[in-house]
Amino acid sequence: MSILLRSSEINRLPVVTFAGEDIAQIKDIVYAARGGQVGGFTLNGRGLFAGPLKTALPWEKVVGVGPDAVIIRGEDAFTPVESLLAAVQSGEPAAGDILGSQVLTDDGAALGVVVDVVIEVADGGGAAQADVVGYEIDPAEGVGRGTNRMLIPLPDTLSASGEHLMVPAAAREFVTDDLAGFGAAVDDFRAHLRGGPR
Amino acid sequence: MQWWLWVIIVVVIIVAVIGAVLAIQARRRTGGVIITDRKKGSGTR
Repeated sequence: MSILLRSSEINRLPVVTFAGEDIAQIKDIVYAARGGQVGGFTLNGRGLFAGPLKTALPWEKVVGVGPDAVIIRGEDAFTPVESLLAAVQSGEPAAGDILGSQVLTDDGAALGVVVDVVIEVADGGGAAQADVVGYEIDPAEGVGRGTNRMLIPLPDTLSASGEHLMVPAAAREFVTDDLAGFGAAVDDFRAHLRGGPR
Repeated sequence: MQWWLWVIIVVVIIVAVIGAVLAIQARRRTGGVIITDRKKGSGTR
C-alpha cells in the first residue's frame, strides 16, 4: 500500500519529535537523479525570521509523513546538509532545483515546465521508501492542452541530469489530470516500457 | 521643512525596510525539489 503526494504538500510541513517539540520546517526535498529515490529534506528554522538550517533530515530517520507534520524520534535525527547530499549523490557532486525546469521527450518535443513533483510514499513512513514517480507540468503550447496542468509519469530507471529533464516520448500517452488515477498510469507506463501491454 | 513631513519620510523608510526584510526572508525560506548529480545552476531558481 502506498500514497501519492505532491512535493508542495510536504514543503513547509513542521518537523515534530515524539516529545511533541516543533523543531524545524521542511524546506527542500532531496532526491537522487539515478532511480528517483528520496534521500531526505533540507530544513528551515522555526519562526518568521529563522533562515535555512545547516542540518538536514535523512529519509531513513523519518518515522511518519502526514498531512500536517513530519514526525521524527528526536533532534539527533539531523545530519549536516553536505552529508545528506553526499549520501544521495552517485556521481559528480552537484545538485539543482528542478522546479521551473523544462521537460523534453527523447524525440525532442517540449512538454512544459515542472511546477510540482509527485512522490510515492510506501505506507509505513520511514521504514519504507519514497520515490519520485512523476512531474506536474505547465504544458507547452505545442502539447495542445491549453493551460491545464498535467501529471506525467516517470520511468523507474529515472535519469535526470543536465539542463533539461528528459522523459520517454511514450510518457505522453499516460498523462493524467489528477492524482486519483496517476498511480495506475505510472504502473501502466512502466509496464509499457518493459514491453508489457498497456 | 515641516515636522510632519519628517514623520512621513521616517514612516515610509521604516515600512520599506520592513518590506524588504520580509521579502528577503520569504525568498530564503522558499522550498524546492533538489535533484542530485545535476549541473550547478540548472533550473531557473
